[in-house]
Amino acid sequence: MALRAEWLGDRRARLIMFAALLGVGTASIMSRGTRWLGSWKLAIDEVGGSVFLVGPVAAALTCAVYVRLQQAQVDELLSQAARPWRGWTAPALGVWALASCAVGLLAVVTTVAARIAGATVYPQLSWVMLPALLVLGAEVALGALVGTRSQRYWVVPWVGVGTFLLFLLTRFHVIPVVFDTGPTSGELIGETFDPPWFVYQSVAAIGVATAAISASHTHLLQRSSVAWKAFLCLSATAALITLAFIRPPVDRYRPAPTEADVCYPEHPTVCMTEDGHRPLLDIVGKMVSLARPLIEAGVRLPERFVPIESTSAADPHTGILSFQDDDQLARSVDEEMAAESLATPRLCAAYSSDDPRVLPEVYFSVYNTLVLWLLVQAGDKSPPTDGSTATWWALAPEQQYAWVRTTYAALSDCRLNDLVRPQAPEARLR
Amino acid sequence: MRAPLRTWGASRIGLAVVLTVLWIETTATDQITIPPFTHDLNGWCFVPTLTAIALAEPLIDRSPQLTELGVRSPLLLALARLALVWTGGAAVVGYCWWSGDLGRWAAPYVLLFLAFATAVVAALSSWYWLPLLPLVFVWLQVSASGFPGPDFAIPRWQVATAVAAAWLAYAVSIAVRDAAQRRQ
Repeated sequence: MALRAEWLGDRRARLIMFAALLGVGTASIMSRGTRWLGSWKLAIDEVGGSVFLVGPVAAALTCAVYVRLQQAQVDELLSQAARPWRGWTAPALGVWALASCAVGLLAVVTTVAARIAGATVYPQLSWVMLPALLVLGAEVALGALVGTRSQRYWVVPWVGVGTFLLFLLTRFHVIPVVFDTGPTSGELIGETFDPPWFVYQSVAAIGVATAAISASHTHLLQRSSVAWKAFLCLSATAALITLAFIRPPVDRYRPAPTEADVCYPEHPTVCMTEDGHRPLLDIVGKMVSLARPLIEAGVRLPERFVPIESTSAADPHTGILSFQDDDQLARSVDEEMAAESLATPRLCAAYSSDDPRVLPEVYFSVYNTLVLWLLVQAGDKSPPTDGSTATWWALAPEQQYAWVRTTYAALSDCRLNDLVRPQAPEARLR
Repeated sequence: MRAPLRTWGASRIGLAVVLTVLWIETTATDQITIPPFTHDLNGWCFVPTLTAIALAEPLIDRSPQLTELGVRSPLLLALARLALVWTGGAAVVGYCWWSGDLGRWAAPYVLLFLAFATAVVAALSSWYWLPLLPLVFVWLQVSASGFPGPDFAIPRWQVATAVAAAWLAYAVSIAVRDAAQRRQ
């Protein structure tokens, strides 16, 4: 190797580069807080997603290195060496290795942190890091190409902005799939990575990377080994065929409900999916204490509560945990979430029907009243003192039990048309 | 005069202005979702930071030996470069300003970020883009909720102060570097 890491600068310069790459990667991962602690899949997805920022910085750094190589006419020096092509590609490989190390380090830190936070580990899904690193390689190679061909330092920031725009254009669906390394805006619960997307991306990225680095110096390329030339032909052809003839996959993720739920046997039993159960203990505690007045009222609680992604969500005698936003990934939930879950003792078809007439309008006010009743009993909220139901709210809890019981039974059996708003006995007489 | 203008990057400035105008025309009102950001982004969100990175680049003296040998003082040449870059900046700001209400909210931020980029060039010279690329990201995070709009109103005197401070920082950095070079 005639040309090695010294072209990246001295040890201090390399350390600064590594710190810069690590810094932007960390900024990307922490941009929405630490929600990924709640799911191992999400943690590794966030790390892959950090390439959208690490990539442009790495590409710009590579560009700067190759402008320096060209201005110092290193290629002429190299053409005297035994393996000129290996020497020529070494700096690009060096930057790629630095950036990959930074991303790899982030992957280890985030996944271990998620593991410590209690997330189930899916080592068999670690392969998703590979396509992300290949995209990083393609961006680095583009940086080398532009740097060599322009021989001007002013292109360096343009390369950074340009590769970032490549990511944006992929998001806009102008470019298919290639530069989009995630992350998802969802929770990845009950979902997994869809291999066709990643295969398409990898083939295209390898093709772009080898073609770009080869086009950077055709004179030295001619003196590369036969193996490299064969690899170049193969990867470039594969990428061309993929981009030209194969329809790009639509989505990075596909539904994959986990069979096993993690359950906490209490009254009621609460289960969460194996791939995202961080707030389970907190939910159990809150639901058990909120359920006490229901049990006193003589309500028959469902056997268990599960999230909508669970394979058993549609079973009878199964309530639904009603998560909002990132509840499912957080360490704790609020009382309202626990109350809303208790007020959903079964997944009725009407909730997800396309026909709005299937769900009677009274359902919403009954549901809201039941949730409020649970929170009032727990002392979290105060009962309304005006409005049509004020007299009912003024009754002693024992007098409210009858409505709670019939309402809960109707919700448990999905008899939504039987639901009625609470009314005080006097009001009914009048 | 044509040769130095080319060396200083007049064509790059022109290209950056044209690309910015094209970007505003094609994407400004489109909403897109990028997962790391909680809110939708429109094309305007990308304008201040990306134009600042592109426009500030010609502020760097790429041929210092030539400048040293020149008849005119390095400070004067640097100020000419500053004038060139800010002419490009003024063109972008002018286009934003006349393009409608949204553009009027965005225009001060183009000035602010160009001022910031000028100050960073004064401090870091050719490595100025290294802190600015992550800033693009931070800005997207901030701007995702309601940029451009009344939430992002900023007093004119603040913008004027930032611009003046950036120009001063740039001029001082050139003067200091020049003085250091002469001492050697």
